[in-house]
Amino acid sequence: MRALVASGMLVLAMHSGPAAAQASNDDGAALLARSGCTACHGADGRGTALAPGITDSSLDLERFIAAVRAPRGTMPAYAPGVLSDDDIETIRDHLVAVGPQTRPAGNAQAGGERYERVGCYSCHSNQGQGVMHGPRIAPSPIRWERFTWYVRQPSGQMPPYSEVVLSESELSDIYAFLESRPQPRPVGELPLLAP
Amino acid sequence: MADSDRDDTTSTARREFLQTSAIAGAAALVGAAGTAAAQTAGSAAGQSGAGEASAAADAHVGDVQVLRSNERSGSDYMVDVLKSLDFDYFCANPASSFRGLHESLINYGGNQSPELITCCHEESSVAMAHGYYKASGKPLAVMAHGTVGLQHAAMALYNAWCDRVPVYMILGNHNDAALRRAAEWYHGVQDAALMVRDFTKWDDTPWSLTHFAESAVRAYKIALTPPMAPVVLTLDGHLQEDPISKSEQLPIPKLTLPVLPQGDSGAVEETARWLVEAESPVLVADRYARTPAGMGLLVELAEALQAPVIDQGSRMNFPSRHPLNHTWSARALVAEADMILGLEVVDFWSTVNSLRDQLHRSASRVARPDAKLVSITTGDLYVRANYQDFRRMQEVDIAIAADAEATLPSLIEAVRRLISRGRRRELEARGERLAEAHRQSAERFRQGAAVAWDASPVSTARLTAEIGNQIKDEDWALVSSYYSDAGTWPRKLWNFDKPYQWLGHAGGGGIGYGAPAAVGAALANRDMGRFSVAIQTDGDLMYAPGVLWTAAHHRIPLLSVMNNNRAYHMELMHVQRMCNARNRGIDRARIGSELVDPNIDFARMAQGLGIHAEGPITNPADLGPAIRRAMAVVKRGEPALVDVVTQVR
Ligand code: HEC
Ligand code: HEC
Repeated sequence: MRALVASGMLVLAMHSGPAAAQASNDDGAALLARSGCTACHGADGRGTALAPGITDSSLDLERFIAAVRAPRGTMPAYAPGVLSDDDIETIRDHLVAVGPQTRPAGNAQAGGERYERVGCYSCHSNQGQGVMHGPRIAPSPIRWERFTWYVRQPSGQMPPYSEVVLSESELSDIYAFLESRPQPRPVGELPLLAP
Repeated sequence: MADSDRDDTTSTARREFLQTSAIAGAAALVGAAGTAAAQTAGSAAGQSGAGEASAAADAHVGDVQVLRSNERSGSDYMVDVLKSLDFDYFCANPASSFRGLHESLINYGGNQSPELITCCHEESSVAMAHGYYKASGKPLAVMAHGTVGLQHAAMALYNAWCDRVPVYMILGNHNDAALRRAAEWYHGVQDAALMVRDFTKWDDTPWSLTHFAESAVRAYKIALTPPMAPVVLTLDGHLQEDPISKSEQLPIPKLTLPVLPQGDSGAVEETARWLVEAESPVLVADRYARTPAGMGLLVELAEALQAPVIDQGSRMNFPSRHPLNHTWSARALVAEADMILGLEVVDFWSTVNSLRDQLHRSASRVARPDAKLVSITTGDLYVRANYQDFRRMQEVDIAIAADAEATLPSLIEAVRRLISRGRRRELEARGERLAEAHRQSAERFRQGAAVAWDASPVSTARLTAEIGNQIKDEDWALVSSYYSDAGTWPRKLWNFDKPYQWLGHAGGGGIGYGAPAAVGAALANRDMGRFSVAIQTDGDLMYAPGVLWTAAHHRIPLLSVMNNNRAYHMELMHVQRMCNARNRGIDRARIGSELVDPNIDFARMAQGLGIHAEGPITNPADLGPAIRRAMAVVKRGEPALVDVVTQVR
């Protein structure tokens, strides 16, 4: 449903670039909407099926700008003539003020069990270290907004987990489990891994 | 044949038929007449013909049922022919339909070159031959019943077919219905090879010994001519068992393996020019290195061009630590490349495209639309219908139907000639960038291996590092790591720099290949003084664990360290994928794929089969000492197994 609405707005997004360029003094919310970001990232920037939430302050300005100038996946690129660095900063300030949806409290132990039961381990391995069938996702998983977005609608080979089979709080447990994995010892301390 | 006899003389008449029906060998074969009269006369000349049947009829009561001193059996001659092909071993699970040949091998042939290897399953016999070939470059012969034995062997033959590995399959069968013992009716078949004809390259059912000799040599030649593949000879029981005269001079045809096809010189020149001009060329090798020289040639080509190599891993194509080895960045390299050369790449389509395996499958091109694609493969010379191992059709700009390894010298020569001094400097700069990227990714792998280092179950990276640490001073070869993540960790962490250190995969994805292929390769390595190690998965070993006994019985030194994740995890992953796509919950996805309750005690199983075994090991700290003890056993010349309960991957 959300996805449908969002993709309808996509058409708008394609035409809104030049308009956005003239509106560099607008406040962040308006710029966000006029630039069409909301079509994918949602009215509040907290994400839709089409794109992850981008309200997380851990996305620092440099990375934020880079993501807009040279985006990955289905996101269109915005050139400086369309959206200046200042505009992007304004957008980001607004988004950070909105802030991400609060993440349900996660229980690492329950998350460990859930991680196995729903089979994340079978591709990302038991400790989230990953190797051939899925990348490493622990001990430092990607930021939560992006994590939930990816698990719900992966763009590659990973199978999608809907809320029917994995609730938001169960996913948060898994996230807590991944975060709680011990940091690896420095390679230099492991003689077996000497080059 | 059918109208010649209705009584006990059928046997004799049948021999007559075999003699007279031989075309080229008719004159040479007459001495094979097994009649008492002929034997007494001491000369068989001119004795063929239906009239002989009555002489035999007179003699059949109280007939002398042992060979006379001037006679030998057809299968003795078969052994002469087979010895001329220089087989080291015959693998077989014994079966009455080749009892004649079996007896000739051990008595007449002295059970030496070839020596008989006792196998507990025909699938093991064939997979041993598969592994042996990849370790030694020499085919083994496998004997089996034409019916029940071949049925067991079929999947392993399919693996060898897909992997382009020669297997010399010999089937026993009793063609003559009038002389079949009771069991031979179940073991008799009109057209034994039919069942595997779609995935073997050639087969024949010789009607005479001369016919046998020609087909035996022809089969060898066909099997060893790229694209290599299994071949089948069906040997009639009577042809094996019936006596022939010793005085008979039966010919042994000379084997001459063909000189392999090299790429057309114009096409090679054009390919070389594209390679030299390209800004981002990529060399992709799959079933490329056919001989120990293959790896060195690819190193030469890559270094001349300072181009990255993607080793898809069906053979030991490229040293793992060479700065131009960029196997693990395949997708990014292919996406960037303006020129991609595929060397015996079986699946070129998947090399330059990607299929998304979701509810609605979709395909997309990874390579640039303007990237030039060139393939060199003998795959273009021979394709069969029915089984789909030829993969999806990939459009290329030049398709060189030739053996890639045989073509490389001329390609290297052309490349060197076309590189100007200025161009060389540019290529060197590219080489430096690639070397730096290689260093960085090697560092990332080591950091990645450190994650979950102390976890229990043991991580596959830890398992790999523990084994690597202990074998590094041996002349080692990783003989199998099938489905243990396709050998990802070993190839990322170990220094593979010898052509025999990596043997690729099963070929057709038929599980059950790993354990017997490892034993087969270890047999070859034993004779060459190399230390064999296998990373053995649990699901694979459960198909036909009897091969461990074969290793013990024949004193085949092999260190098997288990990656025991207690499930068929690849399949589990697929069921999960379905659960996800159907949105019905993933919790039950393990049903049907797990190997728990009870957990399999592989150490006890292996001990019962006569080999040193330890485990199950769950604490990574126990792993090193257990491997050390097992290695001591292996260095004494015996197999040993360490069961390690591991993470899934
Ligand atoms: C057509 C849909 C679409 C539009 C319009 C769009 N984005 Fe995106 N955006 C995406 C997708 C999809 C991703 C995730 C890409 C990936 O990593 O696979 C993304 C990623 C991002 C990221 C990086 C997130 C991360 O975790 O690294 C930022 C920042 C971002 N978008 C900002 C914006 C801004 C600002 C706008 C408007 C100026 C915008 N996007 C417009 C689809 C869109
Ligand atoms: C069938 C294999 C498979 C399963 C099961 C699976 N994943 Fe993945 N996952 C992947 C692959 C492969 C990727 C890499 C991107 C892609 O191809 O989709 C990935 C990517 C991810 C990413 C993004 C990582 C990044 O750096 O961008 C996250 C997060 C993730 N998975 C979490 C999970 C969680 C949590 C579960 C269980 C609820 C799970 N995965 C189950 C295969 C899997």
